[in-house]
Amino acid sequence: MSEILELKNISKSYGETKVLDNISFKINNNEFFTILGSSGSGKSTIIRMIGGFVKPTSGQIFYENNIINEQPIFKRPFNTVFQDYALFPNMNVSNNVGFGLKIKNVNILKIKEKVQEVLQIVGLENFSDRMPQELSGGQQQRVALARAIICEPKVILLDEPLGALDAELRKQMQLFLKEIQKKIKISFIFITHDQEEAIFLSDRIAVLNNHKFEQIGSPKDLYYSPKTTYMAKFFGECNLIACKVVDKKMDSIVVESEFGQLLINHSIDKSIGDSLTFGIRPEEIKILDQSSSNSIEVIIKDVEFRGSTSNLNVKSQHSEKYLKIQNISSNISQPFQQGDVINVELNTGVGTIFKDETIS
Amino acid sequence: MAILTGLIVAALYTPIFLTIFYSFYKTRKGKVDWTSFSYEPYTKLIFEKQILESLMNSIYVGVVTVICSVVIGFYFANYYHTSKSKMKEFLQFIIFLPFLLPPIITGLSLLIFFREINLPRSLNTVVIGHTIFVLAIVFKIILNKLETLKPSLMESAYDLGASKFQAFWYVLLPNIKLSLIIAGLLAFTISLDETLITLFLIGNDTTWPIKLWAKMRVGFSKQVNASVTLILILTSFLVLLIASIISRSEKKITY
Repeated sequence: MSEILELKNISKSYGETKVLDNISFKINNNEFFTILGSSGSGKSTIIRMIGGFVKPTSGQIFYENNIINEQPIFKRPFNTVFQDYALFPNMNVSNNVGFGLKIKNVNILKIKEKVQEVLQIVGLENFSDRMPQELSGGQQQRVALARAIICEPKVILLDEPLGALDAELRKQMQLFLKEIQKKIKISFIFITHDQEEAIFLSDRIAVLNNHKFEQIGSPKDLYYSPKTTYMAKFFGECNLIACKVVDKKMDSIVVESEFGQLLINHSIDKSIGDSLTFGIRPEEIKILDQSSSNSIEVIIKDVEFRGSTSNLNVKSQHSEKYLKIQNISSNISQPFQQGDVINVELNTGVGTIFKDETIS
Repeated sequence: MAILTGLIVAALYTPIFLTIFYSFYKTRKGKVDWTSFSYEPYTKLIFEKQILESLMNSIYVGVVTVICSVVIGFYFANYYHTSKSKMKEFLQFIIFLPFLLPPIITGLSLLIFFREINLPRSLNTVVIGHTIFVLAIVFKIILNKLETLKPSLMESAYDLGASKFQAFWYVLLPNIKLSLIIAGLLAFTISLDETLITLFLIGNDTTWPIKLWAKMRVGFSKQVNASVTLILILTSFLVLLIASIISRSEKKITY
């Protein structure tokens, strides 16, 4: 995969307020790239910079290895799908979609042909004469996308396009976006604050926190190999356990924690006496019928039935620390009561060790 | 309640309708002569050159005022809407000032100014006075419309490759067209019956309201009644037109 776009050491401030602090990333050809962050984290600013609406305070934006910082909006080979769709209320669907070509003085017959083709891609071929006001939110969304696609941009920038839709429609549109991106083979840079949406759609995700990228990687990378404790808690849930190394073996370490001694199957560059944070997902903790060599004893505080799965909140025997355990409901053979003492085993092979961090 | 309301309405608005009435009928010693119905004042009006001429002057002033105030009003409103400068509040204050000040002050200041720069008084100085006066309303109407448009509208036009002019022509203008028409019609109506500022700024010409005023001082004539009736009809028509445009555009906006 070849790179098409690169942002290098980009910072942006409005007066005294810092919005982005030295961020860098690259976009590959045909990639679905998502920027994930809470509202106000500066994620929209990133794509507004790529689109040319905002200038970076410092840093460079490269397109095919050329700096495009100073290139005006209308010359950039990118198109934006705005959060509020921004369809032109004075034009019907086909004129909205054909606008980009009309501006480029494309032959009118050619525009008509292209508009029909693109409307077919987004499934609105029977709506070409409607006015935007007569369309539902989802349909307006498709028109906005068609309007961007028709210009054959190298990258389509989508600024929280699903934010205004209700849950059901949102799911449909996610599927639609994913399929369409594969079909037209254009890179998408997608903005969202919804983690599930990001995981479902993206080839890669960049998580924005405190004006910086916390981590960039595939959804699986981010879930199974979070680089920071923030990341561990950002995607789904994660138990973070403070530990002290008490013994070291070839490919594992023994640590002392508030839950007792644990054997962690990781080879790690730590000496006896060092402290570390061990993170493990709730579904990687197994409930045992009997104690085993690597199990720990915990007390059940409460059981949350969630349909196919159940969550158990358990407390350490030795301290006030809690662990969250997730299990398939049908796997939990006996009904648990609050106060029961059970044996659990941590699948430490898939857990993550955060070296120098204290639990945040 | 209904009766009281009816009485107040009658007391307030009867004179207006009486004017229309008297343009058709003659009165003798306070009594209406019912047999005297005629269109004569209207036909005579056509030959009353001075009144017609003053009416044409008023229409000229009105039309030029509309053109000037809508162009300048749009320019200022667009500047106010898009600019981040703190000076824009001052701009708005200046625009509103002549509309809020007593017209005498506005008229007098302009008169002194024109005299200072040796600009002879004419219909054109009246146009300048009227433009300054109506600009506040035109500015406000256009600004209100601009503020209802999403900022992303122009941005998406640029994003799709439009130049500034193309974005203005294909996207902005069609979307504010109605407010420009409404602002223009209002400006025309206001300009048509403006008297005080006009009095200060007019030279040897005369506008329609001033002509009527002059005529009244030497006694009533049926032609005055007739021309008032005509203007009443014209103004009502304009007001109804504005109202229907507004209600139509509102319907269009509701999704």
